[in-house]
Amino acid sequence: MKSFLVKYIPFIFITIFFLFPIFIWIGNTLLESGNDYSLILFYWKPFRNTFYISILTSIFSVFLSYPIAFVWWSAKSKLLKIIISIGIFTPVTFGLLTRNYAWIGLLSDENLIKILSLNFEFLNDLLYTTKIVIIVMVYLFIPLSYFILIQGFQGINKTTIDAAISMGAEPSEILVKVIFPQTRRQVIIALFFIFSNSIGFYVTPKMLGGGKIDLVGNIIERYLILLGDFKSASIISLYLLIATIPLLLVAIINMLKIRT
Amino acid sequence: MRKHFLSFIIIVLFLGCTNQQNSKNCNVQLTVVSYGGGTYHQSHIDAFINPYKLYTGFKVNPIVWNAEYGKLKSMIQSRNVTWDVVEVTDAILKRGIKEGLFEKLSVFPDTSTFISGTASYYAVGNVYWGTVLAYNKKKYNNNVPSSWKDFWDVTNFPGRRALYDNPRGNLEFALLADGVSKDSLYPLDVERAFNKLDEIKPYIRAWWNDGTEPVQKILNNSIDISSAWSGRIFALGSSNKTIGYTWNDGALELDWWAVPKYSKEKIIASRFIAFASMPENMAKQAEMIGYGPVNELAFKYVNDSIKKHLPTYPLNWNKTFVINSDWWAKNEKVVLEKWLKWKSE
Repeated sequence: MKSFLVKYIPFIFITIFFLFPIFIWIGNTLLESGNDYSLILFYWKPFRNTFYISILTSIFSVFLSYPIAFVWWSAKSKLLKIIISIGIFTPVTFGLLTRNYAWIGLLSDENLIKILSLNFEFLNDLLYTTKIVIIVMVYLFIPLSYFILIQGFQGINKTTIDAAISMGAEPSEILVKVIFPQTRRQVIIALFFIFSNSIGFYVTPKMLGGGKIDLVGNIIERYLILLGDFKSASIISLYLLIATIPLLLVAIINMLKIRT
Repeated sequence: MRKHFLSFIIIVLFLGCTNQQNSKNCNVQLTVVSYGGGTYHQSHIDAFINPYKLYTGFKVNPIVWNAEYGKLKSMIQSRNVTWDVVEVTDAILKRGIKEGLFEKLSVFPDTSTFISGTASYYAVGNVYWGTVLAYNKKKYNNNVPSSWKDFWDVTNFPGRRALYDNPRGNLEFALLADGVSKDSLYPLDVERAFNKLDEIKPYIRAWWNDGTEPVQKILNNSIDISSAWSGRIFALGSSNKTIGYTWNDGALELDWWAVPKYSKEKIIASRFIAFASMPENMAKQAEMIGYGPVNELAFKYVNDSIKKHLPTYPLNWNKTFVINSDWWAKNEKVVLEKWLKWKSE
């Protein structure tokens, strides 16, 4: 009995405090009369933009954090490992708003940019565009992606590398044929995880996009906070929830350790 | 004057924490929510909240909100209301009364000297405030923009533009720029306004949400010309050499004090509102933020040099228009949805 509880307590906790409320919310929304399900068509551009931006964010985040995770894993010096860990996670402790404001300040501050001897016009024009929204979202997700990827790297069987070396493989071959396949699962999890997280983002697009980039999260915020129209906000949120179902499937498949 | 002095004494004597019999009232904590932060909130704190704390000894918690109607509504629906006094604009007040979000006031200030239409059973008016055309004086020193037609004129008045992220106000500005006269604005021709807005959209560098943004952005040279809440510019004081603004074509709105339903300190909230409606206190607020108090008696106490900056000063009042909150209360949802869709086009 005791071991059963210990093993399944996190699951029970999540079921009661997370799954139940979500099902109650879904049930309430679907059972309401007069629901306007065509909202996804009305706002198809924000939905499309959210989709594109989130896909790009997840791809670039994983792409950029993979080398960092690789260096961390293959580093022989403990000092280097510590420096990388601190470097990745310290910005996270500053909080979302601070980091967003830092980016805005960086792109508007003439003096700072001159000191870095960069082109001010180019950077200043970047502000309040879609490009910078993607750049900052990638920056915000790199720590998360790194964290997921190093789980994969830690699961690599070092003997496979020794075997490859002894068989005379080139370093690039080892990377592609031995290391990639063993981290593939975490790469996929990271991609789906970051995608599901970034589709709900509204603070960063609002601040860095100057209110010109409206993602689904911004639309929900307007309905919920400005209008107090909880029904429409719920319906749009349901569509977002549906978009996270692929992640759910990926997570379940991985949990059941199905070989793909 | 005597009437006011008498009501003042009554408020102080019957509420005072300084009275030993009322010592259990000292556990009262009143939460007063002002609309918008920054210098405007400061004007509330200095003119109303600190004096009230001083006279009654109550704890007052001054916070701000930015018209998060959904937050207020969900608080009331869950019967867990932590706010006691809320400052609301006309359109929100009308929507809120319809949805049963406000309590009728228990204590009524003397509103005989109030501008007509600025007091009701549910709320008492505070100020008329304005959204005006603001610009960087240094950039436009030869050619000063003076109307929304100029804002739309990107050839003669080039520059990076910003507008409030809400159709309310902007639709009216678009119609004014398109030649509609102030008297024939309502009911708004929404199609025409959006078509006019399409012209200026590519030149809008940013949409602002918070009252401090346009002022800050003009000061740090991110934006050259924008709509802005006049009081925030006024509050910069005489040291402001950068931001200029005009009352011409300005949009006025009325802010009210109201008490949310199920507030735990309904009666004391009403009394706070009565205190804030006294002419001397309203005059103090007007001197700090340059908004027009609705209590006409307050004008007696306002410094002459400041009077001409108030929106309710006749010369300014004639140049502006008042946003029709009835039209907005009826059409806000549909227009806002159109606005959200339009912004992403």
